[in-house]
Amino acid sequence: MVNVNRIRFDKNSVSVLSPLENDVIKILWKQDERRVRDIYQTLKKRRKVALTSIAVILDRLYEKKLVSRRIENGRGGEHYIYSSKCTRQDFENSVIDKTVNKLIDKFGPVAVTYFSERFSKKKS
Amino acid sequence: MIGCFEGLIITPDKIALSVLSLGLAVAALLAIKKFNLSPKIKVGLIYAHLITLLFPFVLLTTNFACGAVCSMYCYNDTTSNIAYALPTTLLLGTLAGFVVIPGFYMFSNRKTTGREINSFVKKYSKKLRIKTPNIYLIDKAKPIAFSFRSFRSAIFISVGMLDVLNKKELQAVLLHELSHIKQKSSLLKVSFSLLRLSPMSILGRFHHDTGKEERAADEFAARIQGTSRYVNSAKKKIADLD
Repeated sequence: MVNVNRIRFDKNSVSVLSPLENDVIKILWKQDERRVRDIYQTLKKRRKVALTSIAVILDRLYEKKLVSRRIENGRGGEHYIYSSKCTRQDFENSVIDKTVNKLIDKFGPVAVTYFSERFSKKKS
Repeated sequence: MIGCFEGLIITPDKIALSVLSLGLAVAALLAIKKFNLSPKIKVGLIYAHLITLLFPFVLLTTNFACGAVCSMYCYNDTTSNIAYALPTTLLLGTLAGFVVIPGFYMFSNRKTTGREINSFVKKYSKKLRIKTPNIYLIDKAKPIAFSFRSFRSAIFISVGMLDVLNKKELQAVLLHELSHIKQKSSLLKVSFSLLRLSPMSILGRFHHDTGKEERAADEFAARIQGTSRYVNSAKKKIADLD
């Protein structure tokens, strides 16, 4: 289960990650394993970003348990190789699951009745 | 049996030795304050001060004459406990500073296998005429780099630093740490912390200026590289990562 605690409701979208976190995780969803520098090289073509910002974001995603990392040896020293811990689908399922659970915890039977009515409407 | 405590036992001999010892403690303190001494001599004087300061206390409260049978008469009072506790604290502080803390870091982190880093450090250790330190890797993305000089010198660097620094910036950081090892910075830091335990240290402001050492280490790296560009860009990246 991914660790997501905050959900932002913007005008046009719902987001659980910051814009830069979102861009970084999207790269990892597409590609298996990437170094900080690889992600930086891909992202800098699209937006103005510093290498250190990517490193900070990847560490934040690691703490949120969205990515895993391992140390790889190189000639110039060791470095981290990051990879996503879940697919995009798993991540989205997890966010919906957490949101629904929180609504049920907060509003109890009112939320359950609402969902039931909403889904029966959709079916019909 | 090294002797036992029987409270405060004062004899003319003990008083004379105590006065002499306290005189030496003050002299050591004055020498640290007045003269611009090398780090090695400073560390030696700090220890000389602490030992000569504690010596009269231990001397006046210890009766070494009672020998093997002393356990029959000796008892543990507060004075005796303090007399044992103070040198023990000094010993533990020294052990922690020079053995336990560096040992802990060395055993909990693994050595780097990067050939370029190791050969660079080896080359400049030779130039600085210091024993080549081991380079340990800290499994953290946060920017961490420090060095120790105790029973074995060592440089510690985090993976996060290796991720963001380029070759020249990394060399600047390594040269900075080598300069600290050469200047015995960690040894001085621990010794000045121990000096604060001395009640006589209130006579003057004894502090270890780390800013001065940091500047000297930066200057050393810039001098070797022929420019301060890499030291500055490495520092900026470290600040951004923090």
